Amino acid sequence: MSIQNEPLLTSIYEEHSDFCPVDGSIYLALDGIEERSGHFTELRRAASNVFYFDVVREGKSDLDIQIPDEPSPTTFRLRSRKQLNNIWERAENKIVYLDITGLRHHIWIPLLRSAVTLGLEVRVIYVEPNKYTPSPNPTEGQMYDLSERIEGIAPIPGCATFARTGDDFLFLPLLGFEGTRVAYLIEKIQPIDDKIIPIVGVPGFRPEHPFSTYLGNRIALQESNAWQRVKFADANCPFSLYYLLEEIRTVNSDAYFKIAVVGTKPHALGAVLYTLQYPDKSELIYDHPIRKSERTSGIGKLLEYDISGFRNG
Amino acid sequence: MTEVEEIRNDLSKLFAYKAEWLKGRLFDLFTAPQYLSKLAVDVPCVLMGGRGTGKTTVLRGLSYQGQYALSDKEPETIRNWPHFGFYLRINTNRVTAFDGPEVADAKWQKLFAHYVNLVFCDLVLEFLKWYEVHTKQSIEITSNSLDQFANSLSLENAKTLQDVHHNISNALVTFESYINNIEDEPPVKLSLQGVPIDLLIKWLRTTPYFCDKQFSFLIDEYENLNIPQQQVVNTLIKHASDAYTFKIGVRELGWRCKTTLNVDEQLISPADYNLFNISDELKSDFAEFGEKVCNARLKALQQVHPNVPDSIVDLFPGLSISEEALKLGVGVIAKKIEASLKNLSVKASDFFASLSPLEVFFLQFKAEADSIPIEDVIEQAATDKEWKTKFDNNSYALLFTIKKGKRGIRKFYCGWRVFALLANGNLRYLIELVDASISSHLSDGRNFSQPVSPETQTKAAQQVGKKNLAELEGLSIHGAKLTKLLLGLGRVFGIMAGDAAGHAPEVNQFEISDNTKLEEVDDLLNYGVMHLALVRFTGTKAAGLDTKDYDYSVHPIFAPFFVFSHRKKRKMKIRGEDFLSLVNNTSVAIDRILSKSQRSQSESLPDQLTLFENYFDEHSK
Repeated sequence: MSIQNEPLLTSIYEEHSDFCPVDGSIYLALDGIEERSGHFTELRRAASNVFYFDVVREGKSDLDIQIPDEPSPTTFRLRSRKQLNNIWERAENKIVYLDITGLRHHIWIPLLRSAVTLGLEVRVIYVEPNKYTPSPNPTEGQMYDLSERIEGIAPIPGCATFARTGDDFLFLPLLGFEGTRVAYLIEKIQPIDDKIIPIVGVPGFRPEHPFSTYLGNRIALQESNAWQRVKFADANCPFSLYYLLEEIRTVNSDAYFKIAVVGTKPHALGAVLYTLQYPDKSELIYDHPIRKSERTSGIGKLLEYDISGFRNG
Repeated sequence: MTEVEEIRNDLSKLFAYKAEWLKGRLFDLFTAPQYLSKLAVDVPCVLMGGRGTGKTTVLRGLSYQGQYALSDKEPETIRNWPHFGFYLRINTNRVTAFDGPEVADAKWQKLFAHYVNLVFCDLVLEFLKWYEVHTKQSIEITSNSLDQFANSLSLENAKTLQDVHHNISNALVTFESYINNIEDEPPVKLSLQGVPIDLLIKWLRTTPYFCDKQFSFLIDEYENLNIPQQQVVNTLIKHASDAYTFKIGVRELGWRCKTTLNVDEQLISPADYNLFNISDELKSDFAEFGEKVCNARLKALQQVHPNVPDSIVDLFPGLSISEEALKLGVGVIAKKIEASLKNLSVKASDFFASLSPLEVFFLQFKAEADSIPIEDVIEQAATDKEWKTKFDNNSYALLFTIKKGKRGIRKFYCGWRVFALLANGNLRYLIELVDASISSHLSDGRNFSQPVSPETQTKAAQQVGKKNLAELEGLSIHGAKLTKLLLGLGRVFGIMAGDAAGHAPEVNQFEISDNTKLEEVDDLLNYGVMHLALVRFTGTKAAGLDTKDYDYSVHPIFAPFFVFSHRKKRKMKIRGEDFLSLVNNTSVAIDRILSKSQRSQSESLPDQLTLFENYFDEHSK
C-alpha cells in the first residue's frame, strides 16, 4: 500500500494555543529547558478541566511527577511496569496526552509503552521549535548547538533486548543535525556498510533542515557510502516514518532492525511504534545526549498524534 | 563509469579498512600474522591493540566460521580440526542493561554472570547445529547429561539438543523481560557462574567427535564491559576447566580490571594468560606484514584489472634526506647563501665547495641559532672534526625548516617504510594511506606503470590525518575533548619542528611533569591512548604502572597533517595544568607551552590546517 493510502492521524495546529485537551483526560508533560515546552504553562491556564501531570524531575532510571491534589511529587521507576501503569490508571475517561516536547527519550518512551499496553486512548503532543541555535564554532558534524555531550549507548529503560543478532542486521539511523553522534553509533554498532539505511526528515520543520542534515552527517554518510541508500520521511510525521520502516521491512524480509533515534522526536516516535509492533525483529539504539539549555528558541506548530487510532486502525 | 573510476571503485572495496566492511571477502583476503600460531595454544590469550590493528580479523579467523572459510569451505576437513572457536563481540546495547540503582552492584554481577552462561551456551549449541549440518553427523546426548545441563540453567527438561537450544532462546526472552521490569518481577532462578558452560563442554569432550578437541570463546571488544562485568569474565578465564579457554580482543587500556570476583585474586601474565600487544608483536615486521596484506588485495584486483602491479612497495618510492631537501628547494637557498659570502679563508672556501646544498643550509641554520655571521660558522666548521656528526644529527630535522611559513608542501611523507611508521602497527591506517594515495594517483590521470609521486603520497597522508582527526570526535563519548587536545598538541609540535634553530631537534614526545589535577590528566591521557589520538611508551621511570610513568606522543598518523616528525625522538615536559588547558583554552595553552622554549605561534598555519584558523583564533580570545 502506498503512503497516500495510509491513514495519517495527525492534527496540526499552526498556533499552539488553538489546541485544547479533552475534559477529564490526563495531560503529562515537562515544562522543560526549551522555550517551546513552555506552551504547557499556557495550556494549564486555558484548559482547566484536565488532570495535568507535571514531570518535575527526569532521573536516569526514574522520574518525579507532581500529580494534582497530591502534596508532593511521586517517584516512578522506569524499569517497573507496575509503577508506570499506576500513573495512567488515574485517567477518568481513559484518554491520556503524552507531551514529548520537553521530555527526554529515555523518559517518554517507557511512559508511552506503558500507556499503549494498557489499551488507553493515547495521544502524543509535540511542539516544533521556531529555530535551532547555531553553534558559535560550527564544525562539519556540529552546526547547531544541541548537545553538551553524550553519555554513551545504553538501552532505553524497559526496552533492553537480549536478541543475538550477528552481523546480519539493518542499521537505520534517523538522522538529525549532529553527525558526530551518528559516527559514534556506527563505530560502536559496526554495521556492514551496505546495511546502513539512513533516514532524513524531508520535508523538514524548515526548508533548510534537510540540507543541514546532509551537511552535518557528511563524514559518516561518505565514509560508509550510506549516502547511496538514504530514504526520506516527513520530519514531523511519526506515521510516515513507520510506513517507511514497513516498506524497508518488506524489501528486506526477515531483517533485524537497529534503529538509532538521533533525529527528530516525531521520527523517534515512529520508531517506537515500529518496535512495539515488531519487538522480536527490532531494537532502538540511543546514545543518551545531555541537551544544552538554549538549544532551540521560539514556539512553532503543535502536532497531535492519535497513537491509539493508528495502532487500532 | 570510466576505467579509472572502475579501478578506483574496486580498489576502495578491496582496500576497505574495517573487517566488517569486507563482508564475505574478509577471509578471502585473510593474511595470517606471525603471532597467529602462538594464539592457537591452549592457554588464555589477550590480544591488545588499538582500533584497526586487526584484532577482529584474527579472532574471526580463529572462529569455526572463519576456519571453514579459510579451509575453502570443505566440510570433510571439519572433523580434523583440532580447535573450535566461538566468536562473540560484546554488544554495548546489551551489557549496559546490567546497571542502575534498582539493585545492588553485587546483584547485577550475578545477573550478568547468568546472562553470560546463557549466551555462551547458546553459542556452543549454535555451533553444534552448524556442525551437524556441515558434517552430516548427528550428535546424540544422553538424557542424563541433558537433564543435568538443563537443570544447571533452570531450563525446562528437553529431549534433544535442538529442544534445549530452543529453551535457551526462551530463557533469554524471559530474562530480558525480568531485567526490563526488575523493580516488580519476581526473582528469576540464576545459574552458578560458569557451571552450565563447564557441563556442556565437559559433555562435548565425552563424545567421539570432540574428545580430543580444544574449544575457545573468542571475545571481542572486551572494553565494552564495565569493571564488575570484566570481573565476571576474568573469573571464567582464571578458573575455566582444561577443556576450553578464552581469547580476548581488547583496546589498549580497555582491560580496566584484572581481578576476579575475588578482589584479592589477579589475572597475571604469563601464569594465567599470554598477552599479545599487537603493535609490539608486529613491530619488527609490520612493514613486511602490511606488504603481504596489501599484495593479497592487489592480487584480487588483478583478476578484474590485469594491469595492476604485483608489489605494493614498488608503487611507493621514498626519498633520501638529500633528495627531499632538493625537492623542498634547498638548492636555490644554498646558491643564495653562496652568493652572499665574503672574505672566506682558502681552507674555508675549499671546505664550503665540498658541501651539499643541505649542508650549506645547515651552516646558515647554525649561524641563525648562534646569532653569528655565517662566515664564522664556516671557518669553525672547516676545522671541526665533529662537523659531520653534528650535521647528521640535525639533517632530518632541517627538512622541516626549509619551507617554514611557506605555501605548499613543507615536508614530504613518502615511501613504504615511512607509511609503515606513520601507521605505527595499525593496519587500518596503513591501508587507508595506500587507498588514498593510489586513488589520488589514478584520479590525477596516472596509471599503474608509474609509481605514486612523493607529492601525491604526502597529500594523501595529510588527507588521512585530517580524516582521522575529523572522525575522532565521533569515536567515543570523549571525542570532542580528544579532538581539541590533538589540535593543540599537533600545533605545538608543528611549530617546534618548523622553528628548530637553537633548539633540540625532533622534539615530538612529552611527559607530564607534575601532579596537577592528576585524575583528570590521567583520564585524558588514557582516553587519548585508547582512541589512538596518542601513543604511549614506557618512560624512563622504573615503575611502569602509573599513567605518569609513560612518555607520550601524538599518534604518527597525524604527523603529516600537523607537519612534525613521525620518528620517535626527543621529549619535553608539559605541566598537567597546561595539558588540560589544551582542551579548554587551546591557544593560551599553546603559547604557554611554546614560551618555555622561547617560541611563539607567529608562524603561519600549513595549508591543510587553515580550515582550523578560526578555531585557533577563537581560542586565543
